[in-house]
Amino acid sequence: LAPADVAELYARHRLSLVRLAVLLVDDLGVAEDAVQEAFTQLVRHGPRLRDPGAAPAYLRTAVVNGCRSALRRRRTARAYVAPLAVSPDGPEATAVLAEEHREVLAALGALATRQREVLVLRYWSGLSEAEIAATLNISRGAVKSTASRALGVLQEKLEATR
Amino acid sequence: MTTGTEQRLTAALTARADQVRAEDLRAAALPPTRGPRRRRTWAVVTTVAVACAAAIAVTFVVLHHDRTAAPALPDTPHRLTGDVDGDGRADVVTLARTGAVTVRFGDGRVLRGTVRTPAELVGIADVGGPDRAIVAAEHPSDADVDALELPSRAQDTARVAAVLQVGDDGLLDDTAFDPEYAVTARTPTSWFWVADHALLSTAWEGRRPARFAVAAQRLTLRGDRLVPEDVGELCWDTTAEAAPSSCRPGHDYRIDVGVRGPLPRLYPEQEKFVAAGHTMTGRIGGRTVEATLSRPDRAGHSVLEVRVDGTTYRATTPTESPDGALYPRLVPDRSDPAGFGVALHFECCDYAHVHLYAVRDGQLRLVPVPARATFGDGFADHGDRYFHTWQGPTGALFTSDGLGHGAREHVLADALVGGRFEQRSLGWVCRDPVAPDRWGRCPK
Repeated sequence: LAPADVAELYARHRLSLVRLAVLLVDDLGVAEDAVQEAFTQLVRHGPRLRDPGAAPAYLRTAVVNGCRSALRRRRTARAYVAPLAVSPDGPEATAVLAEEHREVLAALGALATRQREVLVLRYWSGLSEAEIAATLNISRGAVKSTASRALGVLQEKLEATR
Repeated sequence: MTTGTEQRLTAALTARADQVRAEDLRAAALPPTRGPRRRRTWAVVTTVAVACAAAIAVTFVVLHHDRTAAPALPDTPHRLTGDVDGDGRADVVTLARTGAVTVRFGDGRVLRGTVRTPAELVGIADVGGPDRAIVAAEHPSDADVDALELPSRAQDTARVAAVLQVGDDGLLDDTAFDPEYAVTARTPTSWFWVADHALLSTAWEGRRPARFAVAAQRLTLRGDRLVPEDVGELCWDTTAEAAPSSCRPGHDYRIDVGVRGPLPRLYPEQEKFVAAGHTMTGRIGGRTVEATLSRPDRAGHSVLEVRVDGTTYRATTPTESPDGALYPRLVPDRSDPAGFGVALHFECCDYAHVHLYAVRDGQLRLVPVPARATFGDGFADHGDRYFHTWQGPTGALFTSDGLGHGAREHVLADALVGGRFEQRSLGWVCRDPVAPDRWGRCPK
């Protein structure tokens, strides 16, 4: 990839990737870090990409992995670091969300990381099963079963809050 | 599933995503493109890693900055013998200090290749190519440190895999790993090794204990990439200096973090993995008690069965975790030598819950734990405090509750007393920030 190509990708995809990351980690600062790191990886590994058209998918995978790492660090940081703030976006951002949306997002946040990833990629990114499978490096069957199970758990949690 | 849930989910995701606007983001800063690739010194590697980890402020690394010089190979070349080309004759592989790899085949042919920053020869593995590959370890490059998220505190001992394949004119080291998925590092939190001629790898979080179970992956060549495939759980006794291997049924693999400095009795941290199902057996009050946790029969549920004196008690766990509970642990009742409880660990999301069950009125019932008790694993006070519950070798439960950076922690004893949950303070301990595995009395 030429520097100009990376710059165009950055301009075109940065915001949507940050939004994807926010949905996975619910932390704007961490989300921006994950996206920045994804572009850094693209710059580093870009020459290895045989198909420049694959760059958006590469970035998406890198962002999902970066978010997963951030969540893992959030859990395992106990001995060495101050944990990330729960919601650095502040109460205003939460407050303006409709109550119903907050319930859904809270239930989503209680799912396992893989389940949350599958649901976000499917219902926000609008990816197909095959694209999600490629992004997460799992089989299509695993995508299907994970999504089905995650929706079931989500529904249970939402019903439990009523 | 239900259309209604899907619609609500889509609407909520869209609403949350739309809250992030372009003007909310930091100023755009395109990562600099690289000039010609060149090797960096270890000092620079360390700096890069520290910079990448700045968000999590690993002060330990900074303190150890000067100790990251890579150990050198001994003067004598590393050597191993095996059948690389599959002709039934022994081939000899050597790795010199310069990184030169030489294979002297049984038929007299000689092929040479190079690893950039040699550390050691690991073995000969079948990775799916026409010949077996030669697996060496090399010291990580800057890209490896970034891509593999190598634990910074392990940089002075970290290795990454170099896989050389037999080519027409020499040994080829063009195999690409998928750093997002393949574990190719040898550090305190990951390992690769050759077993049964296959290249296997595993990773785990936290400190490496003495004996424990790991989820292993086999690395296989597909196209020009080594792709990991899950091969299930293996068990590892690191004290035996052998690679992870099949778990012996019924054998306990305890997680033992080792000596805890001057407070070994206060910190006998231990977790339990039993190879043959999630069962724990123990002697309590002269009776044999067996607790078995079966796989979820429906989403989020597990079934706990406790057998004692020919009687079986059964309970269904609540929907705390999408994967159900993990391990059953027997907990003695402090006021009743014959009494006991079972602690279940639920991993979920960013937290883990511990539920206690005890037999009361002839039934296995959930023991109520006060809502404000710090019990389980999680964060409190908006992330300022982290608490963590574990079980000691006598079965007693402990919880540490400390500041986020972990230097000072309040230790609590979690006890079952007459079937009820009680928590009492054992005092404060402090962690040595330079050697985080060591604990001691807090300085006055």
